[in-house]
Amino acid sequence: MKIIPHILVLNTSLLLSIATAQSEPVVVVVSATSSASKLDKEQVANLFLGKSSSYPDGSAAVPIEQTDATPAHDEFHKSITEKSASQLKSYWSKMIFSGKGTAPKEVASNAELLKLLASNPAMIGYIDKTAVDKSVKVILAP
Amino acid sequence: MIKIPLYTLLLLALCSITTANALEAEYAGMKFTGTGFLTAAVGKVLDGSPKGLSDAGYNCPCQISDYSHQSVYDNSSLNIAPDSKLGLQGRIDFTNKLSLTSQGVSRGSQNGRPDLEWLYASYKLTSDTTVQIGRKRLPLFYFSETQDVGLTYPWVHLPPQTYGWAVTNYNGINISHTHTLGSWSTTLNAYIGTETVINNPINKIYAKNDRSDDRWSNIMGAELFFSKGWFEGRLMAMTALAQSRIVSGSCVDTDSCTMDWGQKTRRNMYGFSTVITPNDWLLMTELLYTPVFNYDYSFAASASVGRHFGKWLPMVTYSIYEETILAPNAIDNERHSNTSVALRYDLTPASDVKLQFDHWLSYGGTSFPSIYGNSNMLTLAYDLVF
Repeated sequence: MKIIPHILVLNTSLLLSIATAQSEPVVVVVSATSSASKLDKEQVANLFLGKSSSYPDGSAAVPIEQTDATPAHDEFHKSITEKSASQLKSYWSKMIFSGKGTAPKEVASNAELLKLLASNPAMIGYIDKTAVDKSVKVILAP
Repeated sequence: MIKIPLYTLLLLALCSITTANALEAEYAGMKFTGTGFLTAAVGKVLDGSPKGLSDAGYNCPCQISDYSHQSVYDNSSLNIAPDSKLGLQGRIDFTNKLSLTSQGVSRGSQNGRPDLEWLYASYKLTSDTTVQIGRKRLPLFYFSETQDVGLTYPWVHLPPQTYGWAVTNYNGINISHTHTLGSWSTTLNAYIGTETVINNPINKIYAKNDRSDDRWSNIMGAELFFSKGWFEGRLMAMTALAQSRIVSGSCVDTDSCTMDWGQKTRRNMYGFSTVITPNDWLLMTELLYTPVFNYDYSFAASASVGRHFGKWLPMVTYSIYEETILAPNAIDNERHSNTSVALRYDLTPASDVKLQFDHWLSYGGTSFPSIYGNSNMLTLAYDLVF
């Protein structure tokens, strides 16, 4: 019977760590060399929903998604596009099968996104706040 | 005993797929993407009137779920065919500006016969402007272009009162442009084209052995989307010269029938839609006004209210269709309404199950209610996108 409290403690710790991971704040970033400046929530949502394809200065913008397996994906869409994973899939299915757009390219991690952003100043993505480094600049912190 | 055609077995086999992704391949700088969608539906008209075998061969009471593709449920055994369909889309990106897309659909209502319904080339003139040429879906309503993709909407089938026209596709050219005005996002899509429908499926809903053909020429139309946050609006206008012909004799069984077409009639359509999604709520409206020069005008509308509860989405929809024939003392004005209660559950982001109850009420005309009067129907569907 003595083992039960340990299991409970372990499980509680695990749940807390998962909860912490899921609630990690995300920030919207572009390459440090990008000409893009601050964007508001609506502008970022328009880019990631294919409703806009350029920055306010007219230069082309290329949104990069994280896969829906990443905690950053849910956190970003919860606060920016306000769509669940199912609603997002439904939305992009409507765009794809109507010929009106294609879903953004996806990456599977913060590191992969940082690598891509470094290669193309037109790209815009989102990462965990703690993953920000000197290669990118934050243009929206929801 | 329920007869299960081969295509149904294929649909059911595909139902076993719970996670699926698009097929992607690259060769010589070109990228190929294969995607698809599936709806496996079953349903039955529970009760209603009139009763008996209709001229269209249905064991009524019966109810229309999709005019455009001859989808009708009746009161016999469980109906599997009317709303079940399988679609495959292939897209080749030759460059980041030029692509070719084709889409074929196999429908239960058409005995599983595969039809190539979309085939178009797309070229990006700028990052905001795209021109497309080929065969596409005619964008009359908010969901017209994804009417076959059940995952994109909350119902088992779209409200028949609004989505009920024979001409669903067109051959032509369209140009679309997106523009941002402050925090508003707008998209304007304009198109021209023509379409001929041989053996109009809508006619089969009324009489199985009759054949009529429809032709819309000089189609010109535009749709404007405008959205901000949880609000999205859509305005649509379209005009076309419509002709039809009743086909008989030896001509019935050939697509190359040379019978004369009837007189060209100007058909105009005007539409307005809203999709409002504050917090977890989902409010949708759709209005359509269709005057036909010197003959009649019709008004169709639907309004829906739903709310997301996690993966659940219950929704109530009321829709009406009212025709007014201009001739003095005309009595055969087709008028009916439908009230539906739908419940959707998202199994995964790419799949769902839906249950829907429809209450159809006819309150105008003489011809239409003699076949499709009042009825209650229950349908269940599984949708998948892969």
